[in-house]
Amino acid sequence: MSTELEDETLNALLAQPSQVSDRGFCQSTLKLIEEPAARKAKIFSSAGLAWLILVLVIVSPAELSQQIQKFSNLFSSFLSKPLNLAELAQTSFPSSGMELTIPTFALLLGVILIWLINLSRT
Amino acid sequence: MARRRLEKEPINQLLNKERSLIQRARALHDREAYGTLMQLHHGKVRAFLVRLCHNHALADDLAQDTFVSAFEKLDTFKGSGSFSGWLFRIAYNKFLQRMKDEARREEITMTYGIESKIHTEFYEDMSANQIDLEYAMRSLKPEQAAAISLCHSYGYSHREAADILNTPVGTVKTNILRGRTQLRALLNAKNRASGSK
Repeated sequence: MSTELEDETLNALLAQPSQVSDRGFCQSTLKLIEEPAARKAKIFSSAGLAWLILVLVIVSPAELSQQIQKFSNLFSSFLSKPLNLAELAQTSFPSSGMELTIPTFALLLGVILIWLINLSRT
Repeated sequence: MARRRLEKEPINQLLNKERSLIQRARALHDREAYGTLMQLHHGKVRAFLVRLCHNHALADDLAQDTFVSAFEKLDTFKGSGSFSGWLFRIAYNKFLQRMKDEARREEITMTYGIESKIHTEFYEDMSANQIDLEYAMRSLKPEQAAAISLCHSYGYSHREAADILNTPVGTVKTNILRGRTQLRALLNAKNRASGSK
């Protein structure tokens, strides 16, 4: 009997590569993938929090609540009005928007930042 | 005809499943979907890499790099070729890069060591013939092992393998021919040795 390896035997051998076992490979690689995202989320959320604290320190609570009230009024009036694009373009939103002060805008920015982070986590 | 359709169906289902997983992973950065994709392909990529670098720890290191890069670059996957082919290309480039960086051949020997032993626990189960084949594979040059693995173990055409390895088709064919000759010689020698015992 010949011990020479036939082409077909070699082909058959090559066509059945050994199966590699997982042994936690996928789990650890997924962790590696999640790490930068988690780090980014931490940086963003701490920046957002710092921003909020800064705003709270700079602006007095009374002024802040007044600003929020103003914004909520503006927002609810905007939603309750029937959508009139012509009117909207001329007056309502831009002029009222001007009433928003920088602290309120900063506060909103902070809230949006934190909301975005939560969104990216899900 | 009906039989051919039956044979094709599971492949089509698998491809559809893979396509939807890629879309989910790409559009939503869905890590769960990517995890499933990884489970489908990690075995091939790791087995391929271990044949190139002859070290299981290094192969896993490169495979992790491959899957992390692939996730980050998922937007660049056009879908014109197969996803596994794309992964193999990244893996091969990672391997070449590692070899190139600071003349890594010596560094690999120092950091990881070229292993003389096949770690059977790395694989799910291996027959004696498969162990012999993996040993014989280690005597090949990386480009020969890569070409043979892609065309004979994972079913790529010479053209596809040439695209993955970024070499001309003629080079792939030559590497396969030389590699196979060497493999046959080694396995024959092994058979003769075990026959004479």
